[in-house]
Amino acid sequence: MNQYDISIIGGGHAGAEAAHIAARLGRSVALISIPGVEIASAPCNPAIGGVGKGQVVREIDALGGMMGEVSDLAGIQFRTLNDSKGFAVRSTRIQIDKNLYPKIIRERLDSLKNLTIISDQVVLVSKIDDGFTLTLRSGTKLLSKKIIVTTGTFLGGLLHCGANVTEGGRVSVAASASLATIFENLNLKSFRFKTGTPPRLYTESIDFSQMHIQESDASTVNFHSLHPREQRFIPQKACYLTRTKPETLEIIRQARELSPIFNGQIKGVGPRYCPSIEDKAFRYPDRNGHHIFIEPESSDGLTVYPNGISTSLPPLIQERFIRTIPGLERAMFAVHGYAVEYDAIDTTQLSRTLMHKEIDGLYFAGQVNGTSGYEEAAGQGIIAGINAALSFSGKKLILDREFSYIGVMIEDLVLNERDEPYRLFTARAENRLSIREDNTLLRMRKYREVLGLNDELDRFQKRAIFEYNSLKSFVFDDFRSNESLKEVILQNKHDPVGAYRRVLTGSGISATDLVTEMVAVELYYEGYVSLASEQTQRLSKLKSKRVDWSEIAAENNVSFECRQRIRSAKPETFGDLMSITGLRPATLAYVAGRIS
Amino acid sequence: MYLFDSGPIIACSTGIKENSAIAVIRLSGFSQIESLAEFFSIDLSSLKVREATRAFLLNSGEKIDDIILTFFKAPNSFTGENLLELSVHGNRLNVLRIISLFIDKKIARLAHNGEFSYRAYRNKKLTFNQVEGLSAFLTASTPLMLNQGFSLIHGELFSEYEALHDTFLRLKSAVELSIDFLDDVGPESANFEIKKWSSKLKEEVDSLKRRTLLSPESLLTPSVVIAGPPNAGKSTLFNMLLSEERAIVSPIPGTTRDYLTESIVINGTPFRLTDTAGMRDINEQIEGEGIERAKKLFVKGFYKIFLLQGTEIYKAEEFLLEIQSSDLFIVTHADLLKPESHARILKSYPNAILVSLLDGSIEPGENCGSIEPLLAGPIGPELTAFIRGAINLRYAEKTSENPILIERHREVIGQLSERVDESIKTIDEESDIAIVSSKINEIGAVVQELIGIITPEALLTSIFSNFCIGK
Repeated sequence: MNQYDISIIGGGHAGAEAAHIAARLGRSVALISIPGVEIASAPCNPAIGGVGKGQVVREIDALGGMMGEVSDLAGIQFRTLNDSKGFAVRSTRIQIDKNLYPKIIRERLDSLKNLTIISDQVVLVSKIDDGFTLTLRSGTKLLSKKIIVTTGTFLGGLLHCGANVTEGGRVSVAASASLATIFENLNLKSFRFKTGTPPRLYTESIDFSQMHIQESDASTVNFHSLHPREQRFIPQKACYLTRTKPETLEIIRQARELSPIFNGQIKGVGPRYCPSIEDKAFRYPDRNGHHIFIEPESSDGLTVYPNGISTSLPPLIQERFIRTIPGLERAMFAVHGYAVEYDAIDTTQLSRTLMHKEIDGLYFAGQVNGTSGYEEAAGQGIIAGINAALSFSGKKLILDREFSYIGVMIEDLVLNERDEPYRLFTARAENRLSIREDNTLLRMRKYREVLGLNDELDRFQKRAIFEYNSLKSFVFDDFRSNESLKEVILQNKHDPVGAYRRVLTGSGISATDLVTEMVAVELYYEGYVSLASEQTQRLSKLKSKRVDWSEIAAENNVSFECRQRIRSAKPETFGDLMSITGLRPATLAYVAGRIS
Repeated sequence: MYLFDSGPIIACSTGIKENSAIAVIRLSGFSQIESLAEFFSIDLSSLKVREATRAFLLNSGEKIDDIILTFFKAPNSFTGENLLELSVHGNRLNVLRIISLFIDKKIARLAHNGEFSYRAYRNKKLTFNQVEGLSAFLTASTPLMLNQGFSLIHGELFSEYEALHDTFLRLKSAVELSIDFLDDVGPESANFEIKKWSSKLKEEVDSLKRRTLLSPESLLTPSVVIAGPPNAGKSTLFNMLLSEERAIVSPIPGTTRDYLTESIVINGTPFRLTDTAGMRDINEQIEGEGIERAKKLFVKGFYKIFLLQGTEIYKAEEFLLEIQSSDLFIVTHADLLKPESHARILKSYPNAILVSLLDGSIEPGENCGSIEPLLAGPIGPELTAFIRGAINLRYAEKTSENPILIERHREVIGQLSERVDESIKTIDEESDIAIVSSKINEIGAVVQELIGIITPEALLTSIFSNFCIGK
């Protein structure tokens, strides 16, 4: 029987990142991926990044993950979101060639000697003394000390397209058995979640002349820190913007009974923040128009992804409403939209390393944890991979919520029971002013250091940090006063980086763009950050106080709903309690009084 | 005070400064009612909960008082603990003897100030806001404070604060929406939402702020200040309002050298009635200081009465500021003026009232309400009745705006109002939305403080130590 240090079940973005980093850290790794699907494919929108998510991709990149680098290489349309809204909320988003991205990932993985890719399906996982046995569909069995479950939407997957319900993890790919069947005797608690995807349309059937064009942004900085900042690796493609018309929504509203989301056919809970067009039509009856971005799916330009109209209505209705949209009057369908229901586990059973609290060696990452998005999946994947690998030497890596979006996400996941799929927003990060794309390297260096890889990436990061430190101390102490420099920056609020660069150039100092930006933006936010941290400190004394959740959850003065939430989250401190979503202020006031 | 042990405590809850018919002693926090068996002539194990029962109180088997006891079993008591209420004879010595008995026998220790309420708070029988209300209620010296305390105990203000918190959350989510979902909602609708909720928040905070504009001092111990040049009749009016002789009334200018303050009660509310020194230019030092003080007192007065002799009406120019800011301008000796002067005065000063020494008739200005010219003494009961009525009306008017009197709330609302104004300025001027958002978060911290989520320890200590023992 083959034996591995770490086996990863599922070859999506979480699985690929987990396998890659674990192998880089010297463990023998098996990546088991369902036949018929490429590894790290993009079954929904072929875009990486986005508000809050671009930060995650850069964090993954700084840890040594693949997502950022491969997105740059496969990028066909670059955008900086929230460009005019300030550095702290600025995020990169790259539209990728959905055929090229998995191809490059596969090359990267194939080049790792201690990584074995197994194209098969896991049918049974059993816990044994020193690890697990995995039984595959082909009958093969293998032994593994650690397991990382990254099954995405495949566990108990059900596809809905109108009244048509089929088993499957995504279109034309079979599902896996349910969580309970595969993880025999492991007693895992799970939920049913739902997500959806829009139809794909043939590019040649679209009339782009009726739409607003959006070219790729040449000044968007690549994700990967070792790439030249603004280099593009393949030809760029344009996106187009159009809008639904009142008739579009009218057709959808009339078809309410045919929608699996509204007629009760789908039992799983969908994300509020990534609503299907049916959701939008019914939830915002006053709005008669919604944006649709027509995004290219690949360099060959064969199909497009109409972003904003995810749907599970019957195919004929989909065709009817889509053809009311300007430019899509003659749209031909490559694939119809559909919704998928799947098993997601209760992540409050996990620790911050993403290992199950009670089952040693069993890790979970990605959509199976109830998250949505490739970036969230990859972020968890790399953390689970690192921790599974480090556990062999008794170490672990936990990212703090104060310094990283990945830390925010993982803490949110393990503290809160999900009642809908989880997506990262910048709003989830209390420290948003200081966890930005521009200073990723500064924030992540101490975590990357733990891995002890000492490769080119480490050398680059060390150089940049050295440059950052010398730039800060040189300019501040010997050349100009801290205050006057800040003044220059605050007087040029629209372009603090440019202003700072001019100061440097004028003084004969040359610095890389990366570090110039890092220092300038830091100076720009300094006052606000210290103000915000003052506030945080005022709260932090209270936050660190311990609470007895079982006592609060038994309290009649606390509303039933709050008690439920407290019982499932089991908060240990007042800070934990505050971060539970949906608690009434009255409950917090009660508890604050009790513990102060 | 948080280092107190949680053992049983005892105190008299009805005050022991004087002898009274009945005193209530509370004993809270004991583990078993049976452990108190030796002190009572009845079988405690059969004692019904929340039912008054008569018994003898025993000291080593000897009857020392005939009492009524009521047992409140945890958690259904004021403190949330086992609580025994003893209604004993209210002789001070008796009360002290009974309390000493329980302390000597190591059943309980003497409670600290506010410790019963503190335990109620600890055991979540009261919220922080309710404790504040209780504190206000128990120490109130005016009907107004009584009402506010009671409304806090019943969570009325709290629910307004919670509504404010909801509005804050709406604003916060509007801002976050514009960051994380700009592509979905579009910039116009995102900005519209931010504007909508920020102006709603401002509206709500402004209306709270308006309720803090009057100082609690001016409402809780409001003052009625009488001012005017020497010999205008201030002391006469003062005495008439007091209905007793206090000031020396004399025809020589400058008799009332400093100010005099007495208390009068109008419709249940105590007012400080102040007779100021006569206002005039004089080099005499003591009187000069008195005049300065008079001016200050006058400015701060809740109801201001300015008096001037008819023959000195030419001085009105000199005291224009005082006259115009006064609530009532009384012109005495109006009989010494010609009727056309009367008309002129009433026209120039709508708050004027003319008092005639000769026939005692009073002619009110148009702002003085609808009282008829009265035939009575010069400064007589008709005038004082009118003044009392006017003061009462003014007070009712001011307090009908539901003023917020609790000092902590006033302070926090002040901060809140500043933060909201700053935030709105930031929303208008700042293009960096993360900065806008962090500014708005500052509002959140203050709103939470208002609700009592953040209760700094010093604050708690000060609140509880302001209680009397036994509360």
